[in-house]
Amino acid sequence: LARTAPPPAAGAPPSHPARRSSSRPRRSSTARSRPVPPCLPLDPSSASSTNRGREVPLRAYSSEGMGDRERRVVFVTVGTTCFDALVKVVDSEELKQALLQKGYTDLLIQMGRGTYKPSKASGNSSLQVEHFTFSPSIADNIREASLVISHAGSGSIFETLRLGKPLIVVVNEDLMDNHQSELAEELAERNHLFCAHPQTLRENVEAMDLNALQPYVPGEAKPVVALINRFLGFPVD
Amino acid sequence: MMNIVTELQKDRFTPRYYVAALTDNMSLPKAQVYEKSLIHVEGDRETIIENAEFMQIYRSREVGQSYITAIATTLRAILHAMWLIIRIRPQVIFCNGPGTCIPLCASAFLLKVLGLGWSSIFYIESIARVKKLSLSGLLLYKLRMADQFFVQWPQLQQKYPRAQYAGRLM
Repeated sequence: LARTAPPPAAGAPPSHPARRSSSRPRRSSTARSRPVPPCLPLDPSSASSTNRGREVPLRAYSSEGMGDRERRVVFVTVGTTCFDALVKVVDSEELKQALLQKGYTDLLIQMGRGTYKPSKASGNSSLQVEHFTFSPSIADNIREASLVISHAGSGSIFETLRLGKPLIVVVNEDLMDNHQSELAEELAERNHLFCAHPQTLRENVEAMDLNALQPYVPGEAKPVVALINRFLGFPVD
Repeated sequence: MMNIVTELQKDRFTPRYYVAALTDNMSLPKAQVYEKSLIHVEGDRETIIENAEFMQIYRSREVGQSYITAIATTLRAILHAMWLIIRIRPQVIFCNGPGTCIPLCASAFLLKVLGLGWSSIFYIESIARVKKLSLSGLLLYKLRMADQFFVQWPQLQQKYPRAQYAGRLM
């Protein structure tokens, strides 16, 4: 996603029309955000010939114009575990670049019991990074995200699949009894999510094709309860 | 487990006793919230019947505990479980995997064998178990202590033919 051009510095003269259009980044034809309003002259109250008769919203040019900028959030969750390896990889410049390339704008990290603190503002890249330790419910975070990167806990996995979000599950190799990876691998085989290790996460992000994911149809307890009722001799509804 | 409970006909399975490990402080609140919501539904009736009780049981072994001290704590857990089973005298037991359920199922099974009580034991293996059973599951399956043994993935049902596969709960 191309970002809007930064506002001209105060005191600078209005730019030449030809130079102004070339300084604006070119938008790709597949960009889904709404069109960028044309560059405002420095003093909006002056009726210059270039914007006479046109309404251009001022707030699009403030640095906090979040309302107009389309956000694509990547939500990273480790649940109640300690998964520093994942947080470190997600905090690395290479992975942040890979996410930027794919068009994501924000990164929200739920760190759990981890001790590694990711940096809040990133260095060279313009990915917005935020983090927190715990929250009573991550459902809202998942709902607002465009991509979820999660540890292999069954709760996180099924909550994300139920909300229909693309999911990359990262298996924690430091865990002793790693039966959790069975679930992630099985669901990856059925194309409901992508499965990765901390070292391979960047390649997975670069190579992932979200269109290949199949929606997961949630299961239900009715069949099991019917069998239980039948065994106990209750009439089956 | 709550997936199963919400689906059960409450008037057939009442009163309900929820048992969780002493050091587990997340599971019982979930059950309490659910049971409270049931009272709300029947709220226009004069009497609010107490249909649910919540109990905690000693764990046989905490995560990371040494196996030597685990012998003593397992014995304590077995005694506590026997006490709970004699007190509750359940006719149906639903359990879903943590080691907490083994002393309870073993106590109930023992009473069955001695002819001192009858509990139908239903075990539902965790959805995270795709290719291998958990230790609790393995014990209950091999020792044939469960009356019905449910798994949530077809591969497990093929590996353990006496298990039932009726789809996933989640």
